[in-house]
Amino acid sequence: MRQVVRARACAPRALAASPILLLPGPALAHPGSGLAHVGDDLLLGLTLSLTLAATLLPLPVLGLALAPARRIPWLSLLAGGGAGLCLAGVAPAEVAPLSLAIALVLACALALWGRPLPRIPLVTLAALLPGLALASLYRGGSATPPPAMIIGSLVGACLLILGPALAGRILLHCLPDAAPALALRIAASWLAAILILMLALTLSGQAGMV
Amino acid sequence: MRRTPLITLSLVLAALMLQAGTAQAHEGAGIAGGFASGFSHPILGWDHVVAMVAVGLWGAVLGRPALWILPLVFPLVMALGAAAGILGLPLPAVETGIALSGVVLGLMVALALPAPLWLAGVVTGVFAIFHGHAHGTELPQAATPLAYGLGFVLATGMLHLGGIGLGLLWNSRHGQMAVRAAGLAIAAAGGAFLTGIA
Repeated sequence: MRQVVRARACAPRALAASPILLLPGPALAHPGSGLAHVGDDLLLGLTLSLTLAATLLPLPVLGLALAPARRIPWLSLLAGGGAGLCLAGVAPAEVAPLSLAIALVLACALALWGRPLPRIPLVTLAALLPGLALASLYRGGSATPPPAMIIGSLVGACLLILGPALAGRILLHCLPDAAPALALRIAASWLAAILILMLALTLSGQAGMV
Repeated sequence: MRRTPLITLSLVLAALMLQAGTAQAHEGAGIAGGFASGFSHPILGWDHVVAMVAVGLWGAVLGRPALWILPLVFPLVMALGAAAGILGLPLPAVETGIALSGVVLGLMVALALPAPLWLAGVVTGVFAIFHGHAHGTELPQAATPLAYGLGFVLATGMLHLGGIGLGLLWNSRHGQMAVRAAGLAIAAAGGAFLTGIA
């Protein structure tokens, strides 16, 4: 009897609590919308820029050009990268070979000329190359990427520029004589050789392999 | 009873022998495969090896700035040749050009001819086109091109460095003899490739 009485007393509470079960849960169909997925998006964007290195190959060349520069043109880098990301949706297919071609000219200039670039061309290239590279990375996407993914790709692009720039700067300051400058020129010539191959593959329609 | 471990070992070895080996037909797949394929291509072909070592040797014999300009020119022009091969542009007598590069560059080292820098650059560049074209046309379809390109440019650079390292012996009298002998050996190897002996 006691059990029946207790069950009757609990029934109204259960009825009152049942609407809670009908409340909608988190929208799992949109995994990027939750705060917990921001980290995943960030990592995805970073991984995207680092694993599709063929698209972003112009950025290490820019890094080598920035190695002997007094200051890193942060504003140009971020403005160019941001513009590239904003315009990726309307970017034509030619943006990838254009990016590779400009980087190739820069790499050849670094390898054969062997002097630091003047400030104005350097600042211009610091805006142009990240813009073109990121536009070619995100070109043709079917949906707007989450902001965290975009930030991740920007960080990846900056790493691809700053890595060679800082390594080159350390070499230039630590090693004596002409050896570090020669090492940078040889690195530029090797990057130019790889860029020529990439450009040929892109123009021959084997870009899907890249 | 003492034979039991031996029998067990034999059975284990027999079972291991029945395991499937690596699929060698797809060795160029993936990033690592692409890099390995690109890296091994210049190193496993003796006709490429002798010419690339000869470029480093000739640079060392001519001294600065040829010491670093020739190994800088070679990969750049070689990549142009590779691009021509990838794009399907025909180049006649590629194998003859590669073999001839060993003969000419080897003789340049052996005779230590004081060639002007521009001439050394042109000779090196012309032969680099033949080597690059061969690499470009033989680019494996399964390989990751970026990794393949990285591998074969790095391997080329290392062969040049090997030649430069050997060429640094040029500073001593006995070293000069050794370098000239290496040049002669390279020219002979090139001649063997040219005539079809090797």
